[in-house]
Parts: sequence; C-alpha cells; structure tokens
Amino acid sequence: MRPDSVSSIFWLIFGIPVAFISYKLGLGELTRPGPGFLTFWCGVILCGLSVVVFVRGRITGVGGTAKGISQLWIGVKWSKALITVLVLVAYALTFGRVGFLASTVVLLIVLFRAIDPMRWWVAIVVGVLASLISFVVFDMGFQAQLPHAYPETLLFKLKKILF
Amino acid sequence: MDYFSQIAYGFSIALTPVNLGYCFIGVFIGTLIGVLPGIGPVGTMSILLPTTFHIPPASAIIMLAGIYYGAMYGGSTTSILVNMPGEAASVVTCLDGYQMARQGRAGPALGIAAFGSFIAGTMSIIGLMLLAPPLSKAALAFGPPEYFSLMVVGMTLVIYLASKSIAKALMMVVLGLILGNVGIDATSGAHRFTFGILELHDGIGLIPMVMGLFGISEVLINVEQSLKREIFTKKVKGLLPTKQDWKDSKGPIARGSILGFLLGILPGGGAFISSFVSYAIEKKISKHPEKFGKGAIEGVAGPESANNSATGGAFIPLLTLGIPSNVVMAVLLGALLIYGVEPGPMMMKDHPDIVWGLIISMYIGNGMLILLNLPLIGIWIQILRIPYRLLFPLIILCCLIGVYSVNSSETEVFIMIIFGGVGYLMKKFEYEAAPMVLAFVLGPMLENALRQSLVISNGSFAIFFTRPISLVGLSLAILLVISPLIPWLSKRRPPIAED
Amino acid sequence: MERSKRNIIFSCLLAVAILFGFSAITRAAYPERPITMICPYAGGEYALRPVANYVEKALGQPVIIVTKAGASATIACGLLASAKPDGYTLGQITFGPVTMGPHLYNINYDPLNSFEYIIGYGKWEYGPCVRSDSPFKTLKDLVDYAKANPGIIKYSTVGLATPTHFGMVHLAKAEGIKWEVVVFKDVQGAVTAGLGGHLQVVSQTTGTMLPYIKAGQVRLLASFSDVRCKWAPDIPTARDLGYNFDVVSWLSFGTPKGVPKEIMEKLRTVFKKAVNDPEVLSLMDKIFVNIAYRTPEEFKKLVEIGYKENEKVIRELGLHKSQQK
Repeated sequence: MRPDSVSSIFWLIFGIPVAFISYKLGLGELTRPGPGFLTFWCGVILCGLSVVVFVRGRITGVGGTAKGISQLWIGVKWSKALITVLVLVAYALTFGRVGFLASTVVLLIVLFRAIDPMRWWVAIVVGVLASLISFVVFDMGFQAQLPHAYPETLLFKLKKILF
Repeated sequence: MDYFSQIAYGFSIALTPVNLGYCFIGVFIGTLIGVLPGIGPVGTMSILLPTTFHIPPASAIIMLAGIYYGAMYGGSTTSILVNMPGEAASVVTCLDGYQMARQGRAGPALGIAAFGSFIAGTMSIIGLMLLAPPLSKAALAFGPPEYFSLMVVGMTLVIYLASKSIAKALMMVVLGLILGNVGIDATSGAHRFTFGILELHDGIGLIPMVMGLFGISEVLINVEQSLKREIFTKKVKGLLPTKQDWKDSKGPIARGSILGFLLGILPGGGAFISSFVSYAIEKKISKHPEKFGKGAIEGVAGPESANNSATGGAFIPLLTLGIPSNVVMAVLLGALLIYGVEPGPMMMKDHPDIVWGLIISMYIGNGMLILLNLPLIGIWIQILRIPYRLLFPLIILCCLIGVYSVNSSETEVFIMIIFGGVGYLMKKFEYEAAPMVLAFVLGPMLENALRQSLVISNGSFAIFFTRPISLVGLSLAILLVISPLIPWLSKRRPPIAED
Repeated sequence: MERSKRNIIFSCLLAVAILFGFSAITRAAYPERPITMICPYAGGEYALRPVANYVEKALGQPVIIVTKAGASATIACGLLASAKPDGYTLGQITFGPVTMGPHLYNINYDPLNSFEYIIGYGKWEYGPCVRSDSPFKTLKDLVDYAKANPGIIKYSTVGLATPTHFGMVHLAKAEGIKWEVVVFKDVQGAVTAGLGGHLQVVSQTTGTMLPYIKAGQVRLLASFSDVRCKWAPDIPTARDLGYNFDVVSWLSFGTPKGVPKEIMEKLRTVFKKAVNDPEVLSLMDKIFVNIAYRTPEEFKKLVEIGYKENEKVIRELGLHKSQQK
C-alpha cells in the first residue's frame, strides 16, 4: 500500500474521536462559541482532508515519494530507531527515582553500544565523563534542578570537602 | 527633550568600565544559555537577581538585559547544527539552517545568523530610541479584535510554510489547532482532552514538543542510516558567508528587522511569531521559493533577524508604559521595582540614567555579541566532525537536560519522546512539522482573541470590521488567500502548486 | 547493690544517654544539604528570593528555588505534597491551589490535609481599576452605571474562577448587576486591554496595578480586601462601602505533612525571623507584596473556610469540575 493511503486512513481514524469528544464538550453558537467548537470542525476537516489525500493517491497513482510502505524502511535499520526510543522511555521512567547521574551514565553507555557499537572502554569513559560534566555545569552551575538521588548527594558532599 | 543630550548621557553611563564589565558578563552568560537548548534567560536572571541588589540599578539592568538579548543570539546554534531548536524562536531556523549544515555550509549559516542578529538588533535599538513613545501608543490600540485579525493573517501565512502537498500541510495545521486546544479552556473552564492528567491541564508544552519533533526525530532518522554514510559532509565549504550569500540575505535581514521590531512591541507578540512570519514572507516574495526547506540562506537570514529585533521591540512597552510584553520583561519589571524604580510613563523622565544607559549599552552589547559569536563559529563547526555514533547520544543528553530544565517535569520529557516518535513517522510519511507548530501556537491565541472580542462586542462580528486596524488585518489576510488564485494580479506565477 | 548489677544498670543508662545524645546531634545537624523551595508561578521566583536568601544565611545551607508552574499552582502543590517529609522540600503555598484549584482541576493531593504550614506571611489583594480618564470616579459611579445598563460593562480577569474573577462576581450578586467577564490567560493581556481602552474595568491584584496607579494611568475604585490597600489608604474597601464580602489570597510557606517536629520548629523559627527582618520587609514592600502574618494554625483555618466558601461560588457559577462534561 502506498504511504499516503496508510497515513490518511490513520488520520481519518484519529479525527473521528476528536470530533466526537468536541461535540460532547459543546459547540455553542456562532456568536458564543463553546469549548468544543474549534476542535469539532478541526476533526471534521481532518477527516475530510484525509479522504482527499486517500482518493488523490488512488487516482493519480502518486501516494508519496516511496511506492509502498515497505519502501520507507528499505535499507535502513529501523530496529535502531526503535531501540533508541525504548531506551529513552526507560530513562524517562526511571531517572526521577534513580537520580540524574546513575540513569544518564547507563543511558549513554547503552546508546554508545547498542546502535553503532563503540568499544566498551570508550563508551564507559565518555558516558561517565559526559554525565559528570553535564551535571556539574547544568545542575550545580545553572541550577537546572536535575533529579537528585544518592550519587548526587555524594557529589555535593565531595564539593563541600574540596571547596 | 533633546535627543542628542539624552544619547550623550546614555553613552556616559554605558561606557564606564564598570558598566562595560556588567554588559559583558550579561551577554556572555546570555550566549551560553542561548546555545544550551531549553534553559532560558528567565531562570538565570532570577538567580542573579539577588547579587544585583548592591550594585547601582543601571548596572544591574544592563547586565540582566544583556542576558536576555544575548540568549537570542545563541539560540540558532543548535538549530543549525543538529536540528534542535534551543528555544521556540529558533524553530524556523531549523528548516533551512540545518539543511545548510548538512551541505557543509554550517559556517555561512551560523555567520549569517550572527550578522543578521547584529544588524537587526542594532536597528531595533535605533527604533526603540526614536520611536518608542508613538509606538507604545500604537501597541495599546491592539485589543482582542486586532489580535484576532493579526492571528488570522498569521494563519494564512502558515500555508506558505509548506513545501510539498498542500492538503497534507492543511492537515498538519488542523492537527496543530487540535493539539493547541489541549488543556483547560480559559474562557469556559472546560477540560479539553486532558484525560485527567494534571500536567495536561495547562496544555502541551511548546518546548518539549518542538525539541521532540525536530531534534529527537532527526536523531531517530539518522540513527537508522547505514553506518558507512556520514550524516554531515566532511567537506566544509567555507567558514563565512560568501558574497552571493550576502546579496541574497540583505533583503531578508532588512525586512526581518522591521517585522520583528513591530511584532515584538505587541504584548504577547514576540520573537516566535515574527520568525515564522518572516520565513513565510521571504518564501512568498522569493524568486525561487522551491529552494526553501532545502538550504536557502534567506530562510535563515530573515527569521534570525526578526527574532532578534523582536527583543528590542519587546523593551518598548516596558520602558514607556511599564507593561511587560513577555515573562522576561516581567522579571525585569520586578527587578526595577526592587531597585525602587517605578516603571511607567514617568520612567524616562525620572530615571534617564537607567533608560538611556540601558539603550546605549544594548548597542555595545550587540557589538560584543557579534565579536563573541563569530570566533565561536569555528568551534561549533568542529562539533559536526565528531562521528555521529559518538555525537548523537550527546545530542539526546542535551535535549533531555534542556527539556527538564524548563519545568523540572518528567511528563515533559515523555512528551518530548512521544513527539520524537511522531516526528519520525511524520518524516517517513512526508508530513511537515512547521505548519503544525505554528498552528499550535497561533490557534489558542486566535481562539481566545475571538471569544474575548465577541464578549466585548456582545456577540457581533461587526467589531472586526468596524475597527480600523482589525479591518486592515483581515483585508490583508483575504488578499493573501486570494492572490495565488489570481495569476495576473501577482507579478509571477503562483509559487505553490494548486491541489 | 552488687557490682555487676550496678555495671549493667550504669551501661544501660549510658547507652540510652548516648542514643539520645546521638539523635539530638543528628537532628541538630539539620540542614545538612541544600533545601528546595518550590515556586508555583512562572517568573515568580524573584518575589521569593528575599525570604529564601535570609533563610539560606540563617540555616547555612543553600535554598534552591525550583519553579514548577502550571494549572494555577496545583502542579506545584501536588509535587510538594508527594515530596519526602524530611524538611528538605518546602514551597510557597498560595490560596488558589488549596481553596479554588481543587474544585476545578483533578488534583492528586488533599488540600485540607496534605500540608503543614510553616508560616502565613502575606496576601494578595484585589480591586477593580479603571483608566484615569474614565467617567467612573468612584465605585458607586460604576455600580450605578452597570445597574442602569446591563451587559455593557466588560471587565478583564486572569482566568476563570480566580480571585480576580470572584470579586466582581460577589459585587454583581450583591447589587444585581449584569456585567461581562473577558477572560485572559495572562496578566499582561488583561492589563493592556484595560489600558488601551478596549474594556472599561480591569479586575486585578492591587500589587500588579500599583505601579500604574502611582503613575496616574489608572484609578483604583475599591479594595476587595478585608483591609484598605496599604499603598492606597484612601480607597475604601468593599466592606467600607457596605458590602459583605472580601476576596483575599493568603500566602504561606509550607511543607508536606509528616515533617519531624524538631525540624518543623526550626523552620518556623527561621521563617518567622525572615519575614520580620527589616531588609526582607523593605524588599517585599518595593514589589508590593502585602505582609500579613498568620500562624500555621490560623492559616489552616483560613484554608478550611476558604475551601468551603469557594466551592459554593464555583458551583453557583457552574464551573465546578463535576459540572463539566
């Protein structure tokens, strides 16, 4: 199937609940639009346009630069993009609890190794260094208030001793 | 009052070694913050505020202001180098700036951004100096109906951002409007698409969204590529803009400066909108609009100039009326109050040292910034030579820190990742992000202005046509919509293919 | 007593003494790392810094202000409520998120029980303002005109179901007036619309409007607070004029519930000194923050009363979250 056909069907399916929920929020009148007014019509237009794109793809035979969806992922290692996303999600779920340093070191090492593997020692050294430096600069320096856990408090104690 | 004596007075204040020093500190810190994505001037200004309690108010304001407009310079750096907008106003620079970087032209892109910012910044300060009082009166004349028509003009220009299919671009606009409506409706209190999540009550954050849509998605796309191909061409074509670049850019810079200045004056106007509008205008009047989106230097020169001159314009309501036009100005207002300066129409008369010292120091600051930023270009370009497998985790790290530093919210990190995935799919299926982002920002403003206007007019739509500014705006919008349909009215063939 | 028994008793007493001493020392060691202060409003940090700096000096540890803005300060309160009650996280608790927000948003904290208050230190007061060239010279002028011309007067507020809104709602109810609210999302829009003459009345915090009042651009018609505005003492309050309402947003610093007593005591002492310090007071005065002391117990009572009252008004306006679709 052509990419445009697939994506237009997606948007059609997306637009319907949008219009529905907006309708329930209340359309009001034209002179006093309700909260759902704008998004209702947006949902409707979205569905309408997705039909247009779908039909145009069928008629003209051109549904995107690629000829079929499988083409979109030819010659590329889509698993790498997927891994990256999953790793990021895992990071987002944990870094608040575990603290910035621990989670970032793990994140960097994983990313250095999983996508285009660098050597272990490079990954570890750069991972640790980058995490430490960015923590010192952004959190201690710019007060970015990154999540603190045990490793971070240790670092603060170290700073107190040294300075 | 005599302008020359005021200017001379301002010079006498700004050129003292102490104030030169504070100016430098301010713009230096500002540049650093501007380069780092996410972290903005507001936080840093607030942190430094207590240290300014014991220095003369003029010096303090010079430094704090320096942080603000210094940050505007640096924001385009990451947009050009790695497609990651450092702040909302730099989103548009990604469109062509990043493409230029991929073609080995990061140097000229960064250079033109710096020069454009300098020229625009200087012009806006001149405007501030000469035109402040009448312009501020004009700014007050902008009420909800005028904002509405301004937003309508903005929305019609959104179409010009599209490079490919118009139908798909319109779908992105509509999507942007929907996403912009997520949150609690200000006018009615209704919960729209919040699904009970507290963080969504205020809507989806712009920074997480654009960092995901542009920065993260680009990383995801690149990560897939075969290892052999380099993402950035090793051959760097020159460090500075060429003569041709300058020729192409002088128009956009001039137009962007004026546009940004005027839009910056309006409270709530600002750098973001002026950058988008500048891009759309440059594309519309260009002789080769198809080059936009593929590395046209006009697409960098115009928006970067616009967003810098908007900072000059933003000072006008504060200095003449005591009204802050954005959050940064609000912090400055608080600072002024603490120093015992009461902002308002009397400020220029009662505290000429602060006002004129500030204005003159802004010239000097702009000069310092261009001197600071140009040599840095050489360093930034080296970053592009780092192997991508080493670079991209660091890019991701910067994104994560940047997003988290805005609101310390884990939810926003998630939003960024989600939009990273969405942006990745959008690139695959050829939907453009820029129209969506603009609609996302303009939509809520448009809707609020519409409903506020209708309350004021008791439900009558005539209000938009009886008030002069609003009428002009709406007529302009109608013209913009009609013009591609009437080939014999515009000077050349319509630049956008009709669907 | 036998020697061994004496030794045992003695060592037990010694052990107990050591343990007590130890715990006393460890408690006295608070604070041993930086303290986080949560600021619930974007760009609002600078108003907290005077107090934060004083506390920093007094306690010997940095006080880091973290801004977690959003959803009318309810996000910040949610985070404060769920923080560890060890005395290292505290925040500014304003009236909105504990007496109004709970009726509008889906919050994740208990507004009446999740917090322990360190001190009530100030308040935000409200009042309607008009441009100085407006024909309304007193509140009575405005009220009379509004009664004679229903639906004509438009006033700007920041947000719906906020204190800026409520003042005008109470007044309308008392006098049977019909006027229209024009809602803005931010302060500058609301103020600019008024200054530009696009609507007749700006209902705002007096703190925000004072620079314009003093510059003569704007006239304050009345103070909706329980007392007259400190910086505009000749303007009457609504109660002075015979109305039976006031709208005040009380300000406090607080912690999540469950902080150990000694730490709480220490915090309360330090903050009380901070808010009484002349330098802090003069800074607060410059940014027009009203100082108004309330003990933690008094503040808690205020919250409870405010919670019930606001629920009534919000339901009457049809804005309660349970009334939304």
